[in-house]
Amino acid sequence: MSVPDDAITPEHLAALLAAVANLRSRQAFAALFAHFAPRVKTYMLRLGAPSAQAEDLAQETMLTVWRKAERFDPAMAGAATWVFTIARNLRIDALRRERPVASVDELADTPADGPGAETMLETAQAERSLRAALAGLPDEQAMLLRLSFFEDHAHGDISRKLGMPLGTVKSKLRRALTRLRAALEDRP
Amino acid sequence: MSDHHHPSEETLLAHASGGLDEAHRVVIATHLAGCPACRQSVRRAERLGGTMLAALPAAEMSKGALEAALARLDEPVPALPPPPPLPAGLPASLAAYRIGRWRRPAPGLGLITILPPTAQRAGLHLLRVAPGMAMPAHGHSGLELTAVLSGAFADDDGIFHAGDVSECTEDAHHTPIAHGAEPCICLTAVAGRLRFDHWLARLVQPLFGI
Repeated sequence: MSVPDDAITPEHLAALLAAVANLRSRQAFAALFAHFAPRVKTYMLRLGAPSAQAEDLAQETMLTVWRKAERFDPAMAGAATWVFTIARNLRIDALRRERPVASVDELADTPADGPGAETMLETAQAERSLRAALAGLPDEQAMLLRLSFFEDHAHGDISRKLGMPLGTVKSKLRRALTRLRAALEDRP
Repeated sequence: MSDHHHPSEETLLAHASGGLDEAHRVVIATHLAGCPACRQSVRRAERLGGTMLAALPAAEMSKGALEAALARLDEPVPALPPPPPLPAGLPASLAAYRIGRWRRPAPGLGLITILPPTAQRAGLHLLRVAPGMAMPAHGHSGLELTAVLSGAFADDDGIFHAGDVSECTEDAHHTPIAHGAEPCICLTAVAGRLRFDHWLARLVQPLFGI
């Protein structure tokens, strides 16, 4: 944890997850916690969770990472992507009107899709090139993506907030996705 | 293959971001279970979410947060009660819900409301429409997503078979008709008020909720 945070690469994070899955390494867990828990808390705060709940959900996310680490498939998703889906699902469960019988995570739409197209390194590289592609997006498209992931995020709400017609919000989002497509393609 | 109907890229993005209403999410999950191409799109969007998450500024965790997490690592995992048995023919995406009995709001029309709509939330309904019968012509004030479970229906956008999804945005207006020899059963999520045109259909409206 003396590693400066910016120095943590996608490859390093995936290796830490592998150490948690295979060796049940508490040290690797602590390093993952130091990186992800504060960011998951920011994610929850931005989506409107009160501070105490944001902290709880960040804790739950990291506990789920520990419990399910062996399900992490580095050929399917990078470490950050996997943690994101866990945090997203926990938030959805927390918002549910009725107590769920099963969590969103248990019902996740993840039938195995054949042999993983990528190695762990390739997946990590994809996250890296995506990071670069995101930085190159026009400001407005980047903002719309940020809003859809980290703010009120229903497209109708974004439209009302910005005073931008819903159709325009959607077409700009679609344009952003098209621009990112090259970086998002599983095979570059 | 190309005439299959899929959800829009924006809707798949909203699904991946966690921004869809529960009812809409269930309809999309129903489609995803049978559509590798859309699963791929969702995974791409999730990768976008992960990349953006990693770039978020770090919030301050409370003192002792890591120690508290470490102390809980060996806690037993809470077991969830098993879901109730799912009636035959229904998709796994409905496994978390109690499914009631068919009601018959009109001849040839069957309806099970799974999630009643509220002012804030979309409703989720199972609809069964007899062959050749038209769904009441309607418009809606919010997003409507419909997944065909069996049979088929036709509207201005074409013919929708099992596995297809029809996506109708705000202000859309359509008259779906059950297509083919068997009844069309679909799962539909509607945000906002359904506005039926016909006086008879308006009598049916209260059964859909608000």
